[in-house]
Amino acid sequence: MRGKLSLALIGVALAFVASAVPIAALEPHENPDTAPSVFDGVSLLRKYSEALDRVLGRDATGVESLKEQAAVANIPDELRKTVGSFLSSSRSLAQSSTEIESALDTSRAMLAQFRPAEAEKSAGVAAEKLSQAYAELRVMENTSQRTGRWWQADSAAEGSTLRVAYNEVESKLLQIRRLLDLFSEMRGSLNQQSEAIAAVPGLRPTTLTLSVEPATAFVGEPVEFQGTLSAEGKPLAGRKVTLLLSSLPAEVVLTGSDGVYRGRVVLPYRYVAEMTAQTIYYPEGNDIGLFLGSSSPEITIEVLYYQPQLSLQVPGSAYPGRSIVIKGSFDYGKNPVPTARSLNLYWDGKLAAEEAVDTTFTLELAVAAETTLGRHRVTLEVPPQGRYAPVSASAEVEVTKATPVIEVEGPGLVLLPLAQEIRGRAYSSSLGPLRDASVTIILGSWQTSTRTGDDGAFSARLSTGLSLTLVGTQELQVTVTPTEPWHRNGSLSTGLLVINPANIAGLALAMGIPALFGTRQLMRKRRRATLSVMPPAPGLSPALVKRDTPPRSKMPGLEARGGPGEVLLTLYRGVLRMIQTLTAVVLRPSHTLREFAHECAPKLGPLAGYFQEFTLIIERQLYARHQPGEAEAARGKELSQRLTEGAKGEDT
Amino acid sequence: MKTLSLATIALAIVLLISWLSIAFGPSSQNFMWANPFWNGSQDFNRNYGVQRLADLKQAKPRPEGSVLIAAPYLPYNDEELKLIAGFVEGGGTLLLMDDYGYGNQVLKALGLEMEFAGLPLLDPYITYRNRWLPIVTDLAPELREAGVERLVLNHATALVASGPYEVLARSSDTAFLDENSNESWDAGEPKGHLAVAVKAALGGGTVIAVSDPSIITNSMLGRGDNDVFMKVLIAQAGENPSIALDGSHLPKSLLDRSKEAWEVAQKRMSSPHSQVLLVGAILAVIMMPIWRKGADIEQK
Repeated sequence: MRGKLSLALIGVALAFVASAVPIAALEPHENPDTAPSVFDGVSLLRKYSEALDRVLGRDATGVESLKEQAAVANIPDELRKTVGSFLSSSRSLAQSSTEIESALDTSRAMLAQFRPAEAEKSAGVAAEKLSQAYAELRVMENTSQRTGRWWQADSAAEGSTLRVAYNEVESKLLQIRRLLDLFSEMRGSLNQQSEAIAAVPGLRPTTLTLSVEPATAFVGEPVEFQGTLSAEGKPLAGRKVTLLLSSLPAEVVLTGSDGVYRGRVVLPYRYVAEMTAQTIYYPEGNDIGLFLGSSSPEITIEVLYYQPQLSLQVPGSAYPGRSIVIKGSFDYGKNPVPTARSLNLYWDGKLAAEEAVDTTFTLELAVAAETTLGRHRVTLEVPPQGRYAPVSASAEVEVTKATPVIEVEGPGLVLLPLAQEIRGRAYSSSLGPLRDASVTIILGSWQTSTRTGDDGAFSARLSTGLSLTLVGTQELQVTVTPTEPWHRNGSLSTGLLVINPANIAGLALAMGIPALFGTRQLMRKRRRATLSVMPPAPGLSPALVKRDTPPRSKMPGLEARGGPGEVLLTLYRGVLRMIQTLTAVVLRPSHTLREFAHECAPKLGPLAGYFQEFTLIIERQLYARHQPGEAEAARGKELSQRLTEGAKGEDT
Repeated sequence: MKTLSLATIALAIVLLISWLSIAFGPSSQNFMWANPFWNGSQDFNRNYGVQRLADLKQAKPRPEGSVLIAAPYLPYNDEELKLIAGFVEGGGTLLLMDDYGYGNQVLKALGLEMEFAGLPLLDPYITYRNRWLPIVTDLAPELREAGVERLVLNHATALVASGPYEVLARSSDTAFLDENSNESWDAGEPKGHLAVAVKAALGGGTVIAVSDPSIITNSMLGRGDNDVFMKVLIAQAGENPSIALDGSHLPKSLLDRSKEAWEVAQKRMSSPHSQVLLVGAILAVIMMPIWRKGADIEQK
């Protein structure tokens, strides 16, 4: 039975331990440190194709973004440099293609204006770019082949995704080569056209001169320009000459009879440091087939304007539903100060206000109550005004909510179940008191609520009740919910000493009664143990008064039964009874047996020695770990007998 | 008598070892706060001062300024969904991180027009080591300004959002949802620029859905800018928000449950009543030899 019980206990214990062992579950992730590296050739080749598409679309920026993307792509280390080269060349080629096209367009336009020399110059630029483009294309072809070999794409099965992706790259590279070939042919054709125009008999070259006065002017100010149009030294009268300012047509004038043209142009309100002026002539109408087009040398005009500095000051933080004050000022330096400037104020890019302001100004901007918390941008834009260039300034404002400070004047000590008066104040250091805010006060399971006044003060009576709490700290939680959108919810927790006198008294009783009972029980047990080795309390020395009274008991020891210990105890009880009767000394609870024997000794005379010896034997039995033997029992009997006989003698 | 004594000693030893395992042994369960290994969330919980909720009822009654992180791998009941809705509408920020779990239950209960695709988001090109660990670099300006440049996901899914919500992060153009589980993109499978983090304002609060809870594991938090990303998401709730993690919808091993029970027991033992009982028990143990002595004396 015991064995079964043991096995059951061990089984339960093992089951408990087994339950504590962690168990594995299906993973919604894998260990990134041990995850296998798996590369994908198809996706890389598709990226190559995408890059080539962008080259064909002259999208250098797009290729650049693919290059940036490749930096974080999962590419084998051995191929990373190859991929980088492919994408760099692709980007250069996309750029070159655009420039080639532009140069060819310019060349074509020059030819249309019968300006073969300029057309040839542009075609030369195109030729140079073409040469670079072919070099880039060769790099791309080599790197794509290297990539294909690494993935064994060139030997992959026909129709496999890898082979299809690789074939697509090769096909697009071929398209680019054809495109470059086409550009090359176009350039050749334009060259031929230039040569053909220059070789047409009777076509007379023209010459344009240009001067501009003044060479320095404010925006919006007129400048005079003049020059001469001539063909082989002879002036051309009544021809249209176009003035270009920074390559944009600005004015058209006719030449006079002396081939001189004059004009006046107002410098546009472009707030740049300088502009270029150039005049062009190209044959129209009857001049076609007679003259070649021409352009004057470029003349640089220094542009003047006033560039003020705008400084902006915004508060570091703003609050939803409240206004912020924006301060600003213009610094015009030594330039004249305008009477006013119109100004646009933007909040996160949206127009919030339009104002006309002086040199220094202050604006008030209301932050909407529903504005999201975080950083927001305030921008001031001042549009151009005559000679005054546009200017702008911006700054960031952190929209936040003020955290309220909650002060509570509560009792440090709470006696249950008494109601408590809780007072306090809610405010924020920057925005003042929280008005009409909802206040909830919680202590354990008791709760009350109130609202703040205009000064943020609140007061509430928290009714407590009976609970199981004895004594200890309990959290007093005060939560404030403001009505203003610029304040956060706030809460304060503070520990209060809570004392429950009723429960303490009850517990003291509950613990005290058993303790008292236990102690008394213990005392009683000890007394019983002591009393069990002595007779009931005797009367007053009857043995000494009534000499003729026979002994109340038979001679102790004759009836004693059991082991030596029991025999000795039985004999000693009889002797004790007899001695108390004989000496009239009472064995008190405070007495030890030895003390009792000592107190009786003077009255026992020569018997005292026997009684003390017997007492020692009994003490050894009672208080030491000593089991008396037969010899001690015999000695006890002998002592008992001598004492009995001695007592008899004393009686008689 | 000897067998019984041996069994009692054995039981005591076994119980002691079990207690030591429960109190000090680390968990190895996914996302567990006591798990210091690669798949646990001990670092996140420690570094962010996360409060663990054994029950959603423990969520703050005043949710403004607090974040509740949920990675639901166990279903919700109606009461729990109402608690979450109340939390968000009360101004709290819910960070719902899910891949193949029960996040859609929450989104539906909140009435949001978005859902977790529940299919693996694989990226064969922009990825860390292999296609199951996609890298995300298409991030909203607010994340970029905060210093987030790349996220590294781990067995993630995507979010399909049709409402007017702010997409915080999208996958690369090569990522796709593997509908037929062949780990390759096939025609018809959604591909490129798939949302992986979406923010929606709801009531007075905010819901941010992230399609990969693994970001918070010990092995993933330090990858890329995952750590900064989590900080930015949590900062949506304001300065120094209180952060709570719903632990009631994470599958737990018996060890984890034992740990929770031990924590509950520790809390209960710290109450005044338990301490009184404990003192009583200690007194009884101390008094026992005295009572025994009394009994011996009486016997003698």
